[in-house]
Amino acid sequence: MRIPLLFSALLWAAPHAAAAHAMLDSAIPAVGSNVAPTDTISLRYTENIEPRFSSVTVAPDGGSVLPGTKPVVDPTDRRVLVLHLAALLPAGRYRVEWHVASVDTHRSEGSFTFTVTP
Amino acid sequence: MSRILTAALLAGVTLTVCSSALAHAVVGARIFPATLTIDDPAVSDEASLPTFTWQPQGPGGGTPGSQTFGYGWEYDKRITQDFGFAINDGYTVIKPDGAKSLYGWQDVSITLKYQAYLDATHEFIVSLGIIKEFGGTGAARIGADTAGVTVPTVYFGKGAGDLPTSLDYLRPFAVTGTFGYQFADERRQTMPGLDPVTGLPALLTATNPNQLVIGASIQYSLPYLQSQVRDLGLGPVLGRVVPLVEFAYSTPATASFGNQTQGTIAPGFIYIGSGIQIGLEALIPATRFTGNRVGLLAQFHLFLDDVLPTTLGKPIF
Repeated sequence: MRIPLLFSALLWAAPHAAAAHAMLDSAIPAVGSNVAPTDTISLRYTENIEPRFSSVTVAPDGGSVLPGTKPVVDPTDRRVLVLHLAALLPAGRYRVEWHVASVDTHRSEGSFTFTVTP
Repeated sequence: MSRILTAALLAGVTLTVCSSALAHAVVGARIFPATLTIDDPAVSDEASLPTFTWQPQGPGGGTPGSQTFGYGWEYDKRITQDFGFAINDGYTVIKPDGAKSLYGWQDVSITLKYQAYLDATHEFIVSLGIIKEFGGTGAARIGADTAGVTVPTVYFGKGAGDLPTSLDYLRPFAVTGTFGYQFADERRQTMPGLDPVTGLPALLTATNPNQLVIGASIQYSLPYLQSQVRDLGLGPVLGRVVPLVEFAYSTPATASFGNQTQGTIAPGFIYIGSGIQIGLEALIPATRFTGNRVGLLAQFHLFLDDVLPTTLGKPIF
């Protein structure tokens, strides 16, 4: 009896405070994809993101981080972080590195590559 | 009665192998899920409610067949960011063929664990712990030991995310493992029973060897594949699944006194949701002494640090 009671209590409590480590749900350009030249990186997470404690950088393979603005949260969907770069990316392979904090301050991180084709 | 008790003890072996504390770990880009038959290497706030086990046992060696149902629970709590404890127990129902069911609680176990080393870049984590099973707190009729054990344990997890990009599709692999040395709290026990020769009531003596307790898991994380290597469009369900195989063994480390190597192999999958995970595994006896039928293991798991981050889900200090 004590287990179902505790289980019910936790399920009741969960939706009132639910958040978690933000996992990358999808990205534009997609993880590991080949794309046309672009100047925007959009990352969609599984949780709402706190932009003040989040960062996204883009660097060519073996190169240094490209200049860009600080990533901003999409005002229509707080799970989406958008990074605008200073210029269209020329052909090549790029690595995106991200560190984010979900709104309940859980931190998570990751990286992936994509390739710009001419 | 003694044959039924033997069946109960055999059926309880698998549950004993599967009763270690469970937790989940986030190490860099890697999420080590809370594995079902062995503990993972992290300290965290979470609860398993419940862990369901079904283990059939065919007749053999003069003992009847049986089915064993286990309903386990566990609560993990961080005291500091890197130090925590877990308490777990389980209710067991054994249904021997042609005989009355036996039921009762297993022995209570408490685990203290310290997260000693974490390297996010190389997805590597090591923890040190000590497990204490309190003998006599469970029901002897379902095989719960009357003598306790103490198990100093080393835990580790290693993700393959630092492999070169030429091996991209191997990067979602990870392994976790546990190495424990189980000290019997009482090497010799005397307990009332029936003399096997005369069948008359007598005081029987049992000898408990120390044991090596070893576990491992091999995992392939589809969430890692999707978010770190290549988005294959697996969707919101399959894209959060971690197929894995778990191995759990214990074997006498001192004179065995008739005790045998026990073990299970558990292939299955774990779905990692937002604040929860659901696991389902087959439970395959790995030695003849462990059993002779394939069982099933299922678990619903709450990440309290995710669902209740400001109350139950944060360290005490």
